[in-house]
Amino acid sequence: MQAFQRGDEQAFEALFDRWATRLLRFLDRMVKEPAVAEELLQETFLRVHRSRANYSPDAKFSTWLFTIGGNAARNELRRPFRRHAHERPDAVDPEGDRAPLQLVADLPASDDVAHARRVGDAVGAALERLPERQRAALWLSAVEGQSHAEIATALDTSEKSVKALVHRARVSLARIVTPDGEQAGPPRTPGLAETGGRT
Amino acid sequence: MSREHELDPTLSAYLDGALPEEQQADLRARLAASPALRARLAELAAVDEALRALPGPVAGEALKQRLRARIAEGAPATSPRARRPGRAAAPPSRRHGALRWAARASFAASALFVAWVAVGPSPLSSPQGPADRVPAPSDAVSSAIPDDFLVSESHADLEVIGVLDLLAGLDGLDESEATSG
Repeated sequence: MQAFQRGDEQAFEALFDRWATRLLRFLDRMVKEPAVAEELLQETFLRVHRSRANYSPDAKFSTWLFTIGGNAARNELRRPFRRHAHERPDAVDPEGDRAPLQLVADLPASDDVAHARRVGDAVGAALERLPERQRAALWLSAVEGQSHAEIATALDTSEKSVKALVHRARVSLARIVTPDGEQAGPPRTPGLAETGGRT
Repeated sequence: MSREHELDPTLSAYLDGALPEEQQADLRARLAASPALRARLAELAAVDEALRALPGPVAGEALKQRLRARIAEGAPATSPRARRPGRAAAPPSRRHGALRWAARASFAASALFVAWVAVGPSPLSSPQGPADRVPAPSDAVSSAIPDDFLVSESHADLEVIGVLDLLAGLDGLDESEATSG
């Protein structure tokens, strides 16, 4: 980023190559429309290009990028009529009993590959039903590996709130993957060492 | 809620690497002593694993080319919806031309009726037909409508266009009355 700030356009392209797909996946999960996600991606990188003078090397580039992208996604989600088009009425409370989500335990498990695909489908569908901020917080933590402090910056909230958002989202999805505390489908429980926290 | 689930916030923070050092040691001791707690940790970790395995779009060369082009043209930041694929496929003036002229025809007919009521039935018997007395929509008025205004296909938009055309028609009618009188 600093090379780009000095005027190196190739550095900007390198930033795009490194981060664009990751940001696009995040935006796609946020707005749930591939075409809109692509436009938001371009908007985000356009803003990065225009605002390069404002970037401070004190902040991680990824935090800055996902903050800009997250803001663009939130603005998009708040557009008039947007909610009616893209959020189902039962998407309000994934922890409630209103949403008849497909549980992985209810799915026939023939083999590992098919089961993994079904788990993916179920988790993807459940992720879509999470409230926007839970969805963003969990994605940035679980997939992007961002710290709670970085996510708090991106979502303009406190670390304490991020901890609660990620926890609630993760528990909601755990109900889909493993309802009633029972491991669904073929064993996929990693060992303790594999599940250790990021330290 | 089971005892294992009571520790969900702690387990979640542990997975995120957000648990303070001293609490980590305590949790590790609990995990070592409780198979159920280990299973719960694995369940929560399985969520992260499933999320990371989700398929997703790839930002390929085409997207990069589009971005380059927009940077080169100095594109301002605008609403994504305004540049949705398909929206830009045809110029608004062409795409909505038929709708615009249908609205104009409709309001021209209204203008004719208004003119007939205002002036009386005599124009119908005059050598000049009503079509001659109600001028076509003014190009000046038409060009005053911004193209982006026409992007929307809402009925309200068409009404506004029609009213503008009607007013233009009545203006022209007044002028023709003044000159003929």
